[in-house]
Amino acid sequence: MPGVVAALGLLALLLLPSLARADALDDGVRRVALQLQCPVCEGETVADSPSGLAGDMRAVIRTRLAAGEADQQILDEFVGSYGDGILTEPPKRGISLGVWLGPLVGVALGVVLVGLLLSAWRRVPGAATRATAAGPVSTRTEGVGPDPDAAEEFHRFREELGR
Amino acid sequence: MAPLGQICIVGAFGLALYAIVSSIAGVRVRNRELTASGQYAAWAVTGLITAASVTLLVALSVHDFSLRYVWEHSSRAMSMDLVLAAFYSGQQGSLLYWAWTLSIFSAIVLWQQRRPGPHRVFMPYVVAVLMVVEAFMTLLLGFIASPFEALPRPPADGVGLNPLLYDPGMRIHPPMLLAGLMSWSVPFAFAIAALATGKLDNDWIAVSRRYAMVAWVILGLGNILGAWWAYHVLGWGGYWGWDPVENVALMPWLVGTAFIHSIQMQERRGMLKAWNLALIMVAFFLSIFGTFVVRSGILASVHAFALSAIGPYFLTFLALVIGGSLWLFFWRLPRLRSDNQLDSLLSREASFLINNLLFLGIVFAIFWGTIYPLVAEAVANAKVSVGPPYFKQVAGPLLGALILLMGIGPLMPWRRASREHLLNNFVTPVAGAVVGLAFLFAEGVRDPFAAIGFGVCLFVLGTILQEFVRGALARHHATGENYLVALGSLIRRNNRRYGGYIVHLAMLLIGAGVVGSQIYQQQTQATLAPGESVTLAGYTVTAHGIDTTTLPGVKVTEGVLSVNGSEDLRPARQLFDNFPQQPSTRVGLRSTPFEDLYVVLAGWDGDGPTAKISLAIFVNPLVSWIWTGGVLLLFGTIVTLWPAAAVSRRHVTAPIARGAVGATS
Repeated sequence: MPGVVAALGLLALLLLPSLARADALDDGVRRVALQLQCPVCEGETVADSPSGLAGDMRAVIRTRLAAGEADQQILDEFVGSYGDGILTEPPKRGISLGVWLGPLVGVALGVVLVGLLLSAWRRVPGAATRATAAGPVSTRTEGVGPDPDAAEEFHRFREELGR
Repeated sequence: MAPLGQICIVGAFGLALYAIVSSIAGVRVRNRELTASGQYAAWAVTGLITAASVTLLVALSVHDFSLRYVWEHSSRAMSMDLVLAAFYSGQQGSLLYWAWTLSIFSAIVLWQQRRPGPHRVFMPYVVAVLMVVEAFMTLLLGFIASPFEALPRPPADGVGLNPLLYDPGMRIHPPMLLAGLMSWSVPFAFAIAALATGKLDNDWIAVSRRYAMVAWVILGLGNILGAWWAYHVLGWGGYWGWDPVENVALMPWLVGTAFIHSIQMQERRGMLKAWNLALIMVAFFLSIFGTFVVRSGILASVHAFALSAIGPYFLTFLALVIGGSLWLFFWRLPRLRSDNQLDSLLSREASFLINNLLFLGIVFAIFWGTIYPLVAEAVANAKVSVGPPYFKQVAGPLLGALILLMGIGPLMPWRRASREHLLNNFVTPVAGAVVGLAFLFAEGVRDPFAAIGFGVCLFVLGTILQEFVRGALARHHATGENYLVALGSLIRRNNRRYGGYIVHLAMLLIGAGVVGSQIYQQQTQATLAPGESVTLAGYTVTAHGIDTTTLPGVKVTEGVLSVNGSEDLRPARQLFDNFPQQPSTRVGLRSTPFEDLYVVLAGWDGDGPTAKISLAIFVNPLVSWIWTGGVLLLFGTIVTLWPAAAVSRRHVTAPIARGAVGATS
């Protein structure tokens, strides 16, 4: 029994310096692991996944970091063995490029559409006359809205504020 | 119990079909009794689905394990509120819940719209559309995914709820989210009715605006509660993971937000009529798509789709609904002309257009990122992961622009803004934002993204406060009421406008909370022997081993910690007997108005007070602002919808409205 305690004590002594170093390393492991998708879970990163594989991957990252490898180097190694799908941020190359281009194309189309709409509205024939025909309505709506209650109130505010 | 529930569902399916046919046939052959019988059938559908739901609830509460659903989702050890929550925790039960809430909403619509008025012409079609959705759901429930499937030999005890669902959030988040997705059916039904009847002016919007607002607030709160639940239960220090299931619930809400803004263009200026119809259709399609994704797991992989029995039915239904709606839409498109032109780019109209462009841009980016893994797998057989970095980089700037617009848009006048108007309205808020930013800089805020984010929030805060102050001052001068009373009656008399400002304030709180917690989160990990400490952002966390308790069906292991020498904090792991592979987390949380200390028990070695424990520790600034924003959002929406002011307004405008109707018809 005393032998066991002594052995455990020795083990703890051996572990202590590594624990202290681990705290500095831990942030690095998390930084890298956050950029990797856990291959066996749904929508979890290697940093957050409780699965065994993710644990093993974190251990690999730790060894590599301890050996002085750069983050990008470690990520590249994982991409080499698992493919681009391992990265949480899709790379801007190959098939993954499409996911980045989609919103650009979509928003550009939207801007063009709004532009066309604006120019169409400015050219509506008869729109101006229609607007004047609806003259009393539009003066009433101006600034506040169609209900006379609020309009009157706002008129009062404006007068009170002298604007 | 099984036959009773099954009969109710099949009966509801038959009556829903009858209601569709008799409503539409009644309009076609101008037979009022026939359309009326369609409405009675809709009431009966409500009754039958309610009976089916009560049957399932009773089966759950008496632990009738002869029903497969009861056996799979509850157990004798569970407390009664959790047993009842099991009602909507599985696929079949949540579809029944969806159908049930839809039938209740249908009944509410029928009741509220029972009086004669311009909206009556829509009602047969509204009933028909609601019953089409109801018929589809009861078809699934009755024949494909029945919650009333019987087990030949009832087991003695059930499997129980998934461990992740043992949380107070479970009792409120799923029902809110599902009801929020469901409730877009109502404004959609009015849009289809407007297209079918050809009455395409503002009537359908006047009737359905309130229903859209209700759908909006329910789905919004469902999403916020989901974030709150994830934050408390999942234990990764965040609240939003851009998971497909989260994204599909967010998208209809964003489109709905665009809708409740752009309908003002139609109400005030007779513009964007076709666009509003298209928006509410998209919101509805995305809601059905969301329900489908949440319940079928298609987005995990194409292969999961094949495993899900309901998948092909949902896709067929979605295709039919989209096809039918588009056909109606393009048939009526020639009649959807704008009444007015755009006078200036510096106007309320233009800001609404930009608002819609931004909302739809965000929705498209989220949609694209969510389905892209499927597209890549189908097209190139390549595995692509689209994680949070994509969504943050693409949606983040667009959301920031929206918040900025939230400050500019409401202060823009309709038609055209003058130079004086701009100076008069924007000088003070801009100056306020500059002063506020200088203060933040002095407090140590250096990150450029944080500066932009907080600066925009401060500017918008200035514009909103300015509106309240000016309104209250003017009212004080005009009526002599003291300032507080003036503020109260200002809000009461213009509840739609000022309720909207309160909702905008809620969005600011949420925005500031997101900026703060995304940029200034601090995190560390530590393995601590008893008595050892770790320090993060001024918090010293000291370990005192673990404390294990065994409750019926679950073993709880708490890490015993003290914070800054005194306060007790106990993050825990829970291991349910029926789910040994799935330990769940209970986060140790110490929340203050400005930051949360968030501690996760990652592991332990040993037992009792001598155990060595591993912790993940986060300090998350401003997260509680997000939850406060959720409460304020509900309050602002209630102010907007508060009926008293609307009633008095109707009295005032009634003669004018009647005159206007007389003039046009």
